[in-house]
Amino acid sequence: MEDRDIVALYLRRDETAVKYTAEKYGSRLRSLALGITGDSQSAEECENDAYLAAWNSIPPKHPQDYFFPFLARIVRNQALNLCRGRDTQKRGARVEELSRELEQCLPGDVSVESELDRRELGRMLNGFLAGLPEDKRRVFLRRYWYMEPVGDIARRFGYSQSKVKSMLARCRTQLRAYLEQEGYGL
Amino acid sequence: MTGMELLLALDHADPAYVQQAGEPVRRPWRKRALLLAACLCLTMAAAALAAGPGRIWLKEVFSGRRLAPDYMESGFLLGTEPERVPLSLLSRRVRDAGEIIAGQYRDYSPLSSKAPCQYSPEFTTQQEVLDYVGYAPLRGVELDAREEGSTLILRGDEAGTILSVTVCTRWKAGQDVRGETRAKLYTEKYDGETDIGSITTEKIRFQTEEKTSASGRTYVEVSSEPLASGYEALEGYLLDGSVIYGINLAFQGEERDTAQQLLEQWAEQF
Repeated sequence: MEDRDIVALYLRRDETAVKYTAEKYGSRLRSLALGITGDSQSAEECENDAYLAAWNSIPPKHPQDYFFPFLARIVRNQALNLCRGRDTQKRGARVEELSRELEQCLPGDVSVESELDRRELGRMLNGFLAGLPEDKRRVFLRRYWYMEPVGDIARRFGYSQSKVKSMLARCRTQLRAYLEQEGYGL
Repeated sequence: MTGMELLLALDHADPAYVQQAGEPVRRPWRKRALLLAACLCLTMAAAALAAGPGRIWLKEVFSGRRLAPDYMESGFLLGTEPERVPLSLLSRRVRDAGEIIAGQYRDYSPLSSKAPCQYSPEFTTQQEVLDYVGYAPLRGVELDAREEGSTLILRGDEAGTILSVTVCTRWKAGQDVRGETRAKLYTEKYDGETDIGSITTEKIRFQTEEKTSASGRTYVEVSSEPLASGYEALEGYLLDGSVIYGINLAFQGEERDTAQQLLEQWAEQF
């Protein structure tokens, strides 16, 4: 079923919308959450949270053009918040690894406390992403948005792992320079 | 600010970029390669008991067989007898998908080109399909090739009972080697044929050879003369208890070595 048809079911308050969403995207959403949380029970909770959030927010939202990113964003956010609530040891190796990698991009000691700050940072990140060539942008997002292991990204794109690592390292350097240029952390 | 906060801020990435990054890496498929893949069909038969379980054996190879004045075919037929899989060993999602198939039968129109017996969701990765199927003995393969998405093919009857499950994963390697790996199982409710075959309407010759991998597993390798397009095919089939594994590679002559290495790499994993 096409995304717009599924969204139309939500708009009509037809409960089969959730069933069709789960059929089409359930495994991808669960897999995303599992990669972040590292346990299947939490992953299932994040998936179910996404269905509930979709049910509660459509309408007024009409995400027919980006339905999967809309759902995946909810799952990712839930999963990351869940990890953030755990202590460092239980947080999961992947989240820790990615956090450490991204710390290299931070130009200064700035606290991002509010959602407003995060939105502003998000706006800058979009400016950075817009300036990347498509292949680099996809690799960057597979790593830091979908939070995939380097090996999986290499297989997906047909690159060697060392090539992916080097692309990511260059992206991080560029991101740091971009954030500095935009006055972030000054 | 921490890296964790930056990870969270990435939530605000433009959904168009997120969607683009989530899509399979697409490369143009060659028409002929597609046609060749389309010719591949896994059909069933309950014959050749003499060969026993755990084996695949040659039943027939034919070239330029004319069945009508305007139709001829070339191909091969292999026999196999996989163990049937109890439905209870498949995931709830797979069993529940039977209801979708039953619904397709109920809504079926004779004018529809879509077979009501089949439900085929798409997945980004092979691992996602394996998780969806949930059958422990079903294994994925790793190739030195780019994975380009997977399809799960569930077949069922009018009552919504699942009869067979096939996991298809597409690959690309070298300059233009296209591959598809398949893993197929039949449930305890299936009582049809279990032959493996491939047919093309061009007059070409197929050769089959029983081989043993370095790990000692027996598999059948099938190669064919080039099609009119210049593309050749190399296929491999192996039975592992209840699962029939297969690989189908389409390539041009200069990349035969790459295709052969992929086939051997595939066979080594069982």
